[in-house]
Amino acid sequence: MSDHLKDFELMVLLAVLRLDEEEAYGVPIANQIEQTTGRGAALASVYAALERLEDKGWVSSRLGESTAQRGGRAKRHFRVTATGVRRVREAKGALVKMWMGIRELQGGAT
Amino acid sequence: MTPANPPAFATKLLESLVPARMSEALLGDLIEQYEAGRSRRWYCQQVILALVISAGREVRTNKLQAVRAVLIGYLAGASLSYFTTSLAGKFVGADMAVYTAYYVVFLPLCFFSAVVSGWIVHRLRPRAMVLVWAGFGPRRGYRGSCGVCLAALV
Repeated sequence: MSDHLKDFELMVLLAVLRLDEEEAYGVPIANQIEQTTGRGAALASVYAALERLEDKGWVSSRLGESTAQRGGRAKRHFRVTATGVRRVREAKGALVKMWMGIRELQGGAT
Repeated sequence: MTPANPPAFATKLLESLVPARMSEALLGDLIEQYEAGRSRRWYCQQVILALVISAGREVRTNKLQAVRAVLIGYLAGASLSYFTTSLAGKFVGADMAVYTAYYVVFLPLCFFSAVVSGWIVHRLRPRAMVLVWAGFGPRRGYRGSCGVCLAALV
């Protein structure tokens, strides 16, 4: 399996990190991405990314209680593992290094 | 006004064709959002997207099984379609208009063949391979793909 962290996977990891574990399930994660980036996130894409991240060991999940409001289906709560946090830091470090020293990107907001 | 229950067909399709690991929590989230006021159209779009993503994942992770599903589906569908339409051709009278024969006899038979081929692929594991077969085969067009997916609900 590829160890590469894709753009959308990084956003999902950051969204999970921003939320408490009780809140970190599909809908709030998709909303968090949408509110923060302005980019729409389909629930199926979020779950597909979370599944890949879980296979890589960067997030873990547990089933919550099922409620009538959800048609008797349980929520799956996610949290970022220590390896996942390290991977996010590495991604940030790599991006910052790439960013530095580029004249076109200095001094402005855009 | 949004109807009380989400589309049952879409729900059943997702339950049948997407692995439980993803479908259970996703369905719960979709129902939660639907209850909060999302439309039936939104619900169906999300289900279709989940089916497409699941099919793509199956192809990436089980390449050999995907090839097997397409081969078996093609063999079953094409042979059944050939057999039934050849047989029907003998009974369709020369006085029947070409378009009538096409829409009343041959097209339903091809659709039936697609359903049977989907049913056969669905018997093989994993079940999500039906999606791979439904997405493949441009010759059948969307009617054939719908027929193949329909088989998952039989």
